[in-house]
Amino acid sequence: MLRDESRERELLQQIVGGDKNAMKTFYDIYSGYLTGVCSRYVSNKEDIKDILQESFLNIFKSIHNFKYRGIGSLKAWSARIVVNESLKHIKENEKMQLTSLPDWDLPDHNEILDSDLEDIPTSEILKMISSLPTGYRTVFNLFVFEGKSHKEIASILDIAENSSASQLHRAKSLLVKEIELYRINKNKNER
Amino acid sequence: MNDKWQDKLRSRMESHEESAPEGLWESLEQQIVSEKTLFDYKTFENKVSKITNSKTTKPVIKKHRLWGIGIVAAAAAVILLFFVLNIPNNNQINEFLINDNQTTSELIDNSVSEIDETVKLPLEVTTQTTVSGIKIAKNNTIISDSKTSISKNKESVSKEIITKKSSIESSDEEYKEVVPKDSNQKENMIKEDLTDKQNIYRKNDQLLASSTGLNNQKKSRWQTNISMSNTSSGFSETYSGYGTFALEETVDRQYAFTSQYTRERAYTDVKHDQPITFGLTLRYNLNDRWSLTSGLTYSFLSSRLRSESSNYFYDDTQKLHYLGIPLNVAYTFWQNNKVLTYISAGGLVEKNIAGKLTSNYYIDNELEMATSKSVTSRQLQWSVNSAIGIEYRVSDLIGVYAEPGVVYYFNNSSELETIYKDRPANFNLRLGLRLNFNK
Repeated sequence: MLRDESRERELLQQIVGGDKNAMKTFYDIYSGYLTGVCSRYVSNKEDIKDILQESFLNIFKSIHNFKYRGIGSLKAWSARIVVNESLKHIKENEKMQLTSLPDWDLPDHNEILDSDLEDIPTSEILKMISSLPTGYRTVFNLFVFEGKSHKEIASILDIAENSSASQLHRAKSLLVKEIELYRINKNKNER
Repeated sequence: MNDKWQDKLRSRMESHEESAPEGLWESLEQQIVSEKTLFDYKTFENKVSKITNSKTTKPVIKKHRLWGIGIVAAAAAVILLFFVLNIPNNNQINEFLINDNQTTSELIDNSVSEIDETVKLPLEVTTQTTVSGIKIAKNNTIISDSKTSISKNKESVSKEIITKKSSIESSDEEYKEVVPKDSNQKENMIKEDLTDKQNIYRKNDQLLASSTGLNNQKKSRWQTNISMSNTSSGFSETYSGYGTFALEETVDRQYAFTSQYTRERAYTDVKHDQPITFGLTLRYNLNDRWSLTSGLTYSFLSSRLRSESSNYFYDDTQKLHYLGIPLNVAYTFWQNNKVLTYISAGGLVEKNIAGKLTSNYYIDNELEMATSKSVTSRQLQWSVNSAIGIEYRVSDLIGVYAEPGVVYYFNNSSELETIYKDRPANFNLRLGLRLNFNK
């Protein structure tokens, strides 16, 4: 792994210089993580591929304007481009379904979410997130992973602030349901 | 609210990797190779990049350029055609006039020679008047009744000449007989006849004159104008919140960009520069007062936008090129030899042929990202305009003119943010050069 800051700087320089091998190195290092980021927003495999391709091109094209600020900054910057490409894709191709599914009378979902989710593999959680309806999923992602406020989400997605909050609430409810379902299935299989 | 689960989930996702889609690198590699030049940043010292962002818009631009070239070629062809059609027309008229002249003068010559043979005395007067043709005899105080019978019609004029001839002949006889009695009287009589003749000539001359006048007018009917115009001023405004020139696809990026940070205290400055229009137009004078103008115009629009908050901002620069076809009607309400004043009204349809949007993103005054992409608008931009024009004729060939006026641009519901859209009604001043053909 490229943990060394100077090596990462060097890699950056090489990419800026148009070095294809450096681009491949960058791809090898970050494609897994960026695929994960993209998969949170979009579930269709073909779409993911298109978005990532566009994102990588974008990254390589604008990387010379990127200001390196130490380890992690390149990763965060790249992820931001992937998120933006994903949002773009969602806006273009998916209807922001702000449909209100019935409100389930669920126990306080924070309790369940707070309980250790160690028994559930991350890829499973990812699958659950990406299977949420578009509106829920997008709001959930922006809120939980991008650390956006409801106000910010509202303006990004062009929705009302309180509907962002309610989308998140429903997203969590659905996620809790999914988690419970997963555990039930798992228990059943183990028996 | 306890957000521990969120932090946990986030850190889990942070280190999580999914296997990248199969064949992603391969297709990426292909694109990198095909866009090799785009990745050559050896000369990126000036940080504002010149990245052509979207590969898909390239052929479109090409098409637009071709379209532009086509328009120019077409306009050139039209102008040429006008020249070609115009010249033979004039020649024909000239020829016709010359023939006309010849036939009448032949007739006149004949009759004069006849007079010549028989009448010696007033010959000098006759030749004088016929040769000069245009001159009016000084002693034509005697106006005969027959003058009124002279028709303007050429044929009847000829007939008239023939009759006059005979009358002259008869008068000759008379003259012979009466010469000893009163030569002066006879002279007067002949003179009378000659005056009639002269009247005919004069009539003919008038005909000639008027047709020459027509010919002159025909010559100057076509005029070509080279003009430049701009609106009275640029336009700028400031509003709170974020703004963008960008089409929808880039809007997302910008929102996503700005939303990384607080959206509070954000404001947007928009500045549209004065649009500049160049025109090459042809003016067709329907008559002394009315004229039609059409041709080809080129307009350049440039706008800048800056959205800014405390520690970050982005700059958008938009440059748009338009080709247009104007059609104007002008009415001349006063003119003298040198100066011509007119009012003009008409419309202009413009098509955006090319455009570029450059966006620079800054954080803490450091350029973080720069994008550049082609923007075009499919919609036609219609506008109407009215102006008062004053033209000063430097020479017969060249006139300079100024047309202060007003222009109104219709909203064409294009996504492009332009001065046309932000301020549809504008004052403008058109300055130009007017060339007269064939003069």
